[in-house]
Amino acid sequence: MPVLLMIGTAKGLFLGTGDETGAWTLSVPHFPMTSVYAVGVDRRGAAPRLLAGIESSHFGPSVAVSDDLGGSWQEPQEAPVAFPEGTDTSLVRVWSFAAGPDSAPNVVWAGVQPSALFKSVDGGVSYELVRPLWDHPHRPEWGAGFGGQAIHTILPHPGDPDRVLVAMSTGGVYRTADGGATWTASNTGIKAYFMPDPWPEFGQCVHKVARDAVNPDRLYLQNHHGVYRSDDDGATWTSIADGLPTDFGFTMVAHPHRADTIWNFPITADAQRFAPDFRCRVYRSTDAGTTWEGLDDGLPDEPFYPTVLRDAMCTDDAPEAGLYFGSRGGDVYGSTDGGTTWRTVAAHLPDVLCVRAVSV
Amino acid sequence: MSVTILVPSALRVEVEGAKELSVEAAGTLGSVFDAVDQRWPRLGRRLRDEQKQLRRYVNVYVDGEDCRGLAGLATPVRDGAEVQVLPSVAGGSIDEATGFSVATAGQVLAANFAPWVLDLGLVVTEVGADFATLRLPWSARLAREGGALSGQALMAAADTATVIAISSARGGFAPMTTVELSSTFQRPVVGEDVLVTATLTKTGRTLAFARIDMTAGGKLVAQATTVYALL
Repeated sequence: MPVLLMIGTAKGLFLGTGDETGAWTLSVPHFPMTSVYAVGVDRRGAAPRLLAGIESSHFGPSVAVSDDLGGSWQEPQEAPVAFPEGTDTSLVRVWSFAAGPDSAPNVVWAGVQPSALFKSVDGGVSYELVRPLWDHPHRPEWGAGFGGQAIHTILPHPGDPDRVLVAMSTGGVYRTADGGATWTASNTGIKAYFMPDPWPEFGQCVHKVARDAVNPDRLYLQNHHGVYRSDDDGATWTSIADGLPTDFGFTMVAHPHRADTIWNFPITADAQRFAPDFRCRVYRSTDAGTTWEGLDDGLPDEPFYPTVLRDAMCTDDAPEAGLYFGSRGGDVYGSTDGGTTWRTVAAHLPDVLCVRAVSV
Repeated sequence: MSVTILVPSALRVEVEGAKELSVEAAGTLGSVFDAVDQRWPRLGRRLRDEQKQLRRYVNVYVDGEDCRGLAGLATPVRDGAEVQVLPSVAGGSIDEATGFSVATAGQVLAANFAPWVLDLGLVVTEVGADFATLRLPWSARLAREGGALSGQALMAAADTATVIAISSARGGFAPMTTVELSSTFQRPVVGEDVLVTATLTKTGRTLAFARIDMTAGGKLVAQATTVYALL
């Protein structure tokens, strides 16, 4: 099945098209010379809608959408994501998109820097600030990680449009069960080793959370040191880091159809941001994090120094899901067998900031 | 009152290719942009953020004067004025012409100097196509008899700043060596950091010339000129 791979980079969005033989063609950059920190796909409509969070260093951030697989892009006259008057805050950039569940077909969420959640009810064209989270009494104490302070993860519950989980660096995990009217910190069991009390209610530097495809109450989390699983929709978390070479990293990806199957890209440590032993190696678990195996067949043999950012790994939605990741060195790799073997999809791109894929 | 806005090429797509716009607005530069927001909102939001602040890397000249040197968005605009919008060459954290950033400059500094030079604690604060600014933190260890900063430390800082400026101009570090350095010490420095700005006055194929201004508390404390051989 052909696949469209969106590759957001520091200098524009590249669209890769993969055919059944495994060959890839790559577009010229869309939005050249803008940083594309977030891309998304909403495939609930007649045609997949592509979403792109773009940021010009001169002319600021915006969001564009395409309903023809990148053939053309639309961007409204008024700013799609903007902090309202009285907040005294300006959007830095959009970090993440998430389409709502099928029962809310026009809802699209956007997580942004500085940490805030926006909601669209027109399919992702225009957004409004989710006030209750912005007005949360914890907000003044949310800090900034090295990459900036942002909501980078949004996980709508597939069975309940009122339940949404978000994660931010720093601040940690917050959940709503009433459509966003109230939000509760949900970090029980997640360590914040960099704080005087390492087990705070909030303030953790969560890097990424992924939801299990079969059991929606099961979640996987890559923390700023620490890898965790929750079996109660994020209420409590337990470590699944023991089988990994290191508990640091940014990515966490779950299989789109299969239970208990996840991937990540470990990085040695906060203060040593290289892959362990400088090996380009993806780790896979097929038992919900109890055991892990390192996979590097087809990945570079030589020492590997780039990192893989939190949104720079993804699957597509084909029955036998393809798996992809891109590095800050500008290379993108793909696997059609769950990571056992890899091929280079694209090379020599600008820093890869994010990837998303959809079968077309 | 009518004002002419000169639109940079990167933004003409928002106004059907027009190089110039004529807007009716009264009083200040801010009101000119309010008129732009009304008529061309997508152009307007490229220039100012949602809190109506001018974007950091958008430069605006009112009758040839940079508005940031005037009163910013409160700058008065006369009838018939020309408002020119230009993207700053400093857009983004990286100079796109050379790819050389403050971060890469810091790496050059860390990798290419003797340990005792690193002990000065120099920090790169800004780099551009033909200059570099380093901060020399005050330290009593660098003071001579009498408590003032020693000239030797200033000369080393000036020499180091030249290397960073040349590296910035060339987009990266390459071997080079000092041929000449002459300094004048004009005021004593006590208890203050020194900002050291090396500006290249000429770069040829084999030689580079720089002028270095050293200031503390906003006052010039020393100057130097250097000549470098590019190897």
